[in-house]
Amino acid sequence: MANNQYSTFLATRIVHDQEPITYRLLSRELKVHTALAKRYLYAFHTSSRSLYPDKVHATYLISGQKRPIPAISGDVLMSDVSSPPSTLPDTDVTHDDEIVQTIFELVPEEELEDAKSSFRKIDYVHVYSLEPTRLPEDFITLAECGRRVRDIDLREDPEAISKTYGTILEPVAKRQNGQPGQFASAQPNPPATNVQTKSKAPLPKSEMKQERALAEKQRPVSEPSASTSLFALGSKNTSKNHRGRPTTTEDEPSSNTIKKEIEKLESRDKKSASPFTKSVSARSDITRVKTQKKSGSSTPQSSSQVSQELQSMFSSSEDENEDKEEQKPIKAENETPKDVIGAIHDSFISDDIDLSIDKTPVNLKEEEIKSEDIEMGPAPPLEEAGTELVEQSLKKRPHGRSRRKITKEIHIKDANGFLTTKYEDVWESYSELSDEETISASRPVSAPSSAPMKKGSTVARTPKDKDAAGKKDNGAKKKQAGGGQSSLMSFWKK
Amino acid sequence: MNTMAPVASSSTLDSNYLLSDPREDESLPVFERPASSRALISKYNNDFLLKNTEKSYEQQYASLYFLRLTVLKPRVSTIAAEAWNGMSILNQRVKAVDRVLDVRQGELCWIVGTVYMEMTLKPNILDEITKEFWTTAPISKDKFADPENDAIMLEDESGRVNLVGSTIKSELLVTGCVVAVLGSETTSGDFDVIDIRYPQLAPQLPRPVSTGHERKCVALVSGLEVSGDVHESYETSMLIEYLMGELGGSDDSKRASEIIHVIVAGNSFANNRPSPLSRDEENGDSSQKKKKKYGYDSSSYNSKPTEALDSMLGDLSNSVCVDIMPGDQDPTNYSFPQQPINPAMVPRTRRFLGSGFRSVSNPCWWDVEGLRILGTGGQPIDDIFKYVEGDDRLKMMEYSLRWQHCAPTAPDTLWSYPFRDCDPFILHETPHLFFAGNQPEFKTKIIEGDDGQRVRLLALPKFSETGQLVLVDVDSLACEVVTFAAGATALD
Repeated sequence: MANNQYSTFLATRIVHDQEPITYRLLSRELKVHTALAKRYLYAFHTSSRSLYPDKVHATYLISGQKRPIPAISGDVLMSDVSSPPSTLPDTDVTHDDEIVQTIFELVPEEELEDAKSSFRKIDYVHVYSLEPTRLPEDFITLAECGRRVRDIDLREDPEAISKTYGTILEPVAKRQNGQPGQFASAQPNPPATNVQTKSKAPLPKSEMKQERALAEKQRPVSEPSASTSLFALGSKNTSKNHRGRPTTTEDEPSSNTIKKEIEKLESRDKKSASPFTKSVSARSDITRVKTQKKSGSSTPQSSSQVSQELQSMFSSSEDENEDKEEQKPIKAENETPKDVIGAIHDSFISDDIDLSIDKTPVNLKEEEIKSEDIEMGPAPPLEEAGTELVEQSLKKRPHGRSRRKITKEIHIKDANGFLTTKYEDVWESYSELSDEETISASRPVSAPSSAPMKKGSTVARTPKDKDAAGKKDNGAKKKQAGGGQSSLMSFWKK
Repeated sequence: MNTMAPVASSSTLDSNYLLSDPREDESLPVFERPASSRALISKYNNDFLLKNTEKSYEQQYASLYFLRLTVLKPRVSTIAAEAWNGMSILNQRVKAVDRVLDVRQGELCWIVGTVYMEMTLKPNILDEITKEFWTTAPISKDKFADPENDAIMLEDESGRVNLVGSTIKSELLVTGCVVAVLGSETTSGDFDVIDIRYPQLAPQLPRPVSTGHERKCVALVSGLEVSGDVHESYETSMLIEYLMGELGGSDDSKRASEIIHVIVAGNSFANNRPSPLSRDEENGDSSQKKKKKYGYDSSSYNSKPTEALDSMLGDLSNSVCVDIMPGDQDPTNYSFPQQPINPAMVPRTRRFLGSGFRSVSNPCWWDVEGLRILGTGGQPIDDIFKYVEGDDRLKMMEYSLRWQHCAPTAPDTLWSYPFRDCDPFILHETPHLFFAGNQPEFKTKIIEGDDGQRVRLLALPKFSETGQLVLVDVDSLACEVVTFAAGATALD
């Protein structure tokens, strides 16, 4: 290894990219023994004092034995029986029961000398990591390095890891291949994604999301003709449409999803109830496409939201794709008509991504939360339409008809004359296709005239009779959904 | 016997050698773990494993006590007979009485039975029912012990007798241990105890003579409490690096390579269950929705701990053999014996199943290079702790061995499966190493039995609180504590 390769590497990563680098990460990146990596860090740190003053901070690791300071280690004092061997502790510890205490301590360079003096015997001192500024007390930023090390290690042969980096090898340990391995490959990344996005969403979601993102990448490969050609017709900008659909076609909704979905649909309905929508609905398909195109560009916010989340999905999946390659065959095998639909969406979605990249100011945090319903992940394709599907509200029925559960507020006067509010869940029939259509269509004017529309729609949205409401809504929407995408979709569905 | 890393002598071993300029040509050490046997003792462990298909909760718990007494009574009787038979006090010869109810007033005799502690502070199902009608002030349940009001009873198949006297009051006793007591019945019908005998340590297999070439260690850690969230303590990462032999200098790596087995003893997952209160609130408006849920509820389920632990164990299993034992916070059954954590929870690690990784029950028996190990996640000791005054965990562990029972308070206050055919917690053999996980602090000692048994008792501290890993030498039973500290805060 060229001598100055490490200094270039470290200078780039620490001084330029402002990242902390641990000896482990350095050894993985440069494929050298960890002991050598520790010395590289030291050498770089020494030279950096003149080259990059105040730009490189070191954290040291001290191993050895601490001085017996009762104040600090009162509870483990038994250990230090070894230093005054004449006195046995008052417990009935028998004769030679001396306990060696070894300590490994991480210390910032400022405290190195202090820390050293608290050791009775120092075995080793080495540079643990170099970083642009002093690390927080809990060294938590180093955890990211650990994750990257793990990712690198995963791709390598255990024996090679041992030889190259000096990791102790357990000769007995044998990695089994097969099912668990396929599972496993999805594992290492989620924490990393979480850190990036700072999302509070629980992990399964992000994992699902990744899986989904992966599927997105893979499906177009397996079904290229269907997806691309079909959507050559469609507009790129109607991302809002496609955002909803994957959920309904193939996602297995959880209570969470349902809730989100309801909220979303409700908000859409508010928009769709505008007078503008009606006029739009009267137009021909072609004009509609045009409008949508316009709408896409004139309301970057909504479309960009979608594309952002997609982008985030995508980016998270990218580094993982290698590992996941093995999952591909399974997906392909299980491909059902549903998946073909998925493929259509997905190709569409991936189109949207290009769009997103140039348009979107990134606002990932919010997007994470908003996109949960999509992230909930694809239902296992093997799941056939059955009783479950009926129970689960958002399952797709032919022609985009579906039922959903909404929470109704009911005011009742009770026996004592108090007015009480009850929340009740009711099933409501609606058509999600038309829902979505109208939204994208109505978008151009939604921004200026949003306030009055909302009022109107809330009234419409709290129906006393669910069926009637459903019909009303759907009736209106059906007209709008008459051509373009919805017919295309229904073709694929039936 | 304490092979601490020798003070740096050669140039490569200098404590500062890692603080020198790198030399490319230098050959750097690569260590490999010595081949060794690490078997689970299935003879005992099989009794801890419950097949779902065979589990039945129809039977009463009484049979467990009956089985326990049947097995342990002869053992205590032998000890008691040796000690007391032929003895006479105040010209009265001591005689053995077979059944508790056959004791006659004023007669000096010894009886054998199961101890039952009548404690007012002990949780009682009847109290729970009463609470539905009346509300009583909540009592702190850290300890059940209340020496003023507690009554100690001895029970066998025939009945129960109240034990009194200063001897018995000062003894460490818990519900469920089988003992022999010497004394006589008083006019009030109580049994005045003069002396008491336990089954004492069960026989122990001899340890193989050490070959002396290589040191071999078992590493024990408990209470990792991996949460997987952003503020995970960094000590856990250091622990993994150490066990993989990357942390520190070459002697540290060498030392780490002597570890032939790692036992993760309980509470590997952080306890971040949602509080019951918040759950209630949540249920308020969405209970109907939840009823129809299929699969896990992603809003209340957090997979981060599992994933973080999986990646950790996955790294580790490649480098050293790891056994994971559940604790009271872990995702398996709560009642004793706890069944192994389903390996499906740790998909990455599962690839090493059978070679570098095992999921074991709690309690569990091992035979590592001839060293017989018995360990629990700590619940039996925590439960005994509630019965007795003081906080001497090692004494509780010692008595547990002397009672020849590793979970005496099951099924009274330690939840347990109602075994019908055997009491799996009875010790037929004394281990060489007996550990209890998740204890408040590290403590250890060696106790010796009458027949030359030698046992290392080990109270394992919670790693999440102390950052301590305990190494036990397979040959010498010597202990070493390795502490990981990230920053000055960790040491306070």
